[in-house]
Amino acid sequence: MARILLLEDDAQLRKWVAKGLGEKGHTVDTFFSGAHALTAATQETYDLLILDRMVPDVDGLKLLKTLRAMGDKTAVLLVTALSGADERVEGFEAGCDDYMVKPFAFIELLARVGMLLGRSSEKASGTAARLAAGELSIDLLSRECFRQGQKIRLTSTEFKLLEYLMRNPKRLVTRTMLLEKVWGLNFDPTTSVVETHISRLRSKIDNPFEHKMIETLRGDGYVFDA
Amino acid sequence: MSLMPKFLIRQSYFRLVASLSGVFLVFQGLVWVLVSSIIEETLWEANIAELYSLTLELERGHLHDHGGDVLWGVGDNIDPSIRRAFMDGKCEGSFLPGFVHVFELYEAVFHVEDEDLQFEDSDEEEGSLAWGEIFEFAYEGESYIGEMSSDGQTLQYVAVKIDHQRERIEAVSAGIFFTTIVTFVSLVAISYVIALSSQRKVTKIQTVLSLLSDGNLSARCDLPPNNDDLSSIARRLDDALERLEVVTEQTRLFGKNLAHDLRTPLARLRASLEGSEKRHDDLTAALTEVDRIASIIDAMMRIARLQSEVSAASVTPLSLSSFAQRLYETYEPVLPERKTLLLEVDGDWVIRADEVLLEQAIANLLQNAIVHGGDYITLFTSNGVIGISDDGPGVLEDQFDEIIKPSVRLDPSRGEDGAGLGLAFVKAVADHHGARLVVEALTPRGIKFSLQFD
Repeated sequence: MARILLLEDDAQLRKWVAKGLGEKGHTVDTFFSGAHALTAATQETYDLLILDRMVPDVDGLKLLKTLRAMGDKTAVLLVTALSGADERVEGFEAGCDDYMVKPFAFIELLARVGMLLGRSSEKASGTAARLAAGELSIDLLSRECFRQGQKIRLTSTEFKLLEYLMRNPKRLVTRTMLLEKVWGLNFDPTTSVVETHISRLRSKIDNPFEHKMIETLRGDGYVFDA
Repeated sequence: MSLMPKFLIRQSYFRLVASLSGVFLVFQGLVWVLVSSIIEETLWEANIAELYSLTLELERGHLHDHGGDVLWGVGDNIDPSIRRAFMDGKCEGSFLPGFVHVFELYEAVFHVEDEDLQFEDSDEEEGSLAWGEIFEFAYEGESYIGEMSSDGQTLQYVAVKIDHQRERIEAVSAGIFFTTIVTFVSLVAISYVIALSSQRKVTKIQTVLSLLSDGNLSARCDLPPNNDDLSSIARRLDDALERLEVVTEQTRLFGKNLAHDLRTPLARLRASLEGSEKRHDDLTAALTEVDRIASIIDAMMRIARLQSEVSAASVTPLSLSSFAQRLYETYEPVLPERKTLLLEVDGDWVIRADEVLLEQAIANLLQNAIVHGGDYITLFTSNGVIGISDDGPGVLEDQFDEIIKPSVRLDPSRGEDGAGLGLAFVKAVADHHGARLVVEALTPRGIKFSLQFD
């Protein structure tokens, strides 16, 4: 499927992530040293780099900056134990495409990897005024939603949620990702915000119909499939 | 710039010098009065002595030539204009008792042909009337003091020009006055310059202190080395800041590393739990616990970060009403079936805040209300205030201060994990914004948490 570089200094985590991604059909090159990872990243072609931010010698952030300075545009997922908003901003400013805080569920990593790989292979559906998926369509200007020609009333949050799901079809989307992308929250509000809104959205666009478009995966992830 | 800038009036140096200058002015005034009166007295006595000797010379009939400074006349030789001048002058004390209307008498003397006129109603010894009155008068534009006397038959006068004496007194007065003014002005000017220079130091120190209170530990006074007290205070402040910055940086790094060192084994733990072939409920529960520990570390780090640094970078104007509206839309559906979230918006107020932090704080309050509060939860906003209230059992009033302390999270009686930490976080957010977290009891029941922005 894809060729992934993994920089992680913790042996156990490295093994776990590599094994999990391998099972999904990806080829994973693992590194525990930033310097070696940098050499490999400049010599080989990867679809995605997963970099631990804090490793001995050249850390992930430095590696990322070096690569970006060299004009390398490979997708980068920064994995880190630093969860502060400033550090997050620092990561994005250095040029990472996504940021994930330890500890994480494997499904979270998988979803983000899927999203990043998808991003590099597909062109985004752009700024068309209308998004359509099967019998469901939404009008981005009038903020209206139709399924089988029936108009469905959505709140603005539900609309934003649906739009995000429709833009990432057949792809695993986790609760944390939805919080980040739909609500702009990089913290867990400790309430079941995502679950509740997904369930409300479902009751409007799925429940009255036979084919269910939003599927729940292992509790924490969702897949939209028209 | 006004004549006396406000900062000068507040300056203690300037106040000191200004009040000392005031005292100096008063003192110099007194000196002036004293010296003038002593000089005047001395000159007066000298004049009197001279007049007496002149009178004596006149009586003895051998008045020496004193140039233009002395006027004199005897009997019929007395020039009427001199007489006039005498009469218009000022009598300086009487040498003879009851001799107030001396000039009427002299008038009588001058107009009466009889030169043998006797002063019969005088107490003086008959025939030997020798009396004197001292007059100060102006004649042909000059000032004189003079004495008029009579031996009972002949009238005589003698007067000395005193203009140069007046000039001397005036010169001394002017000297005192001039030196006083010069000293005063130079004092004020010097103190102004000193005050300006010390004001620069004070301003620098104030700037550093206010930066410090905003959490900026890298600010320094950096005053040039000097031995005055302000420079020494500034130097000590710089030293203290230097040490504080080092300690804070060490603490921050320690926290960072601690978080890293805790998170990596947690990630490992999570990985091995997730990777386990045998998945059952115990493993799921263990995973939940791992996530819970991670979120507690997160919360502690957030509080520590908020308390240690104040980065105003993400503070923007925020409309409280639309913010509350958005929060309501996000969180209202989240509430359990039996609970209701109400939105109370009183006017639209714009505050300056970090929206993400504020949402986190309100979400914490809301979560608290959902877990501990009553069935009706209110998200309210009014004049610079946003908060959450509920009609639950509330908290005893004497525990209000206690519940927002981070230590309360250690209190086992609170049961639900993270609740105390949540309020500590809300308090940290309030402090970060310079806002107040106010806890109030509601009647008949309930509790209200408000974040009050200035």
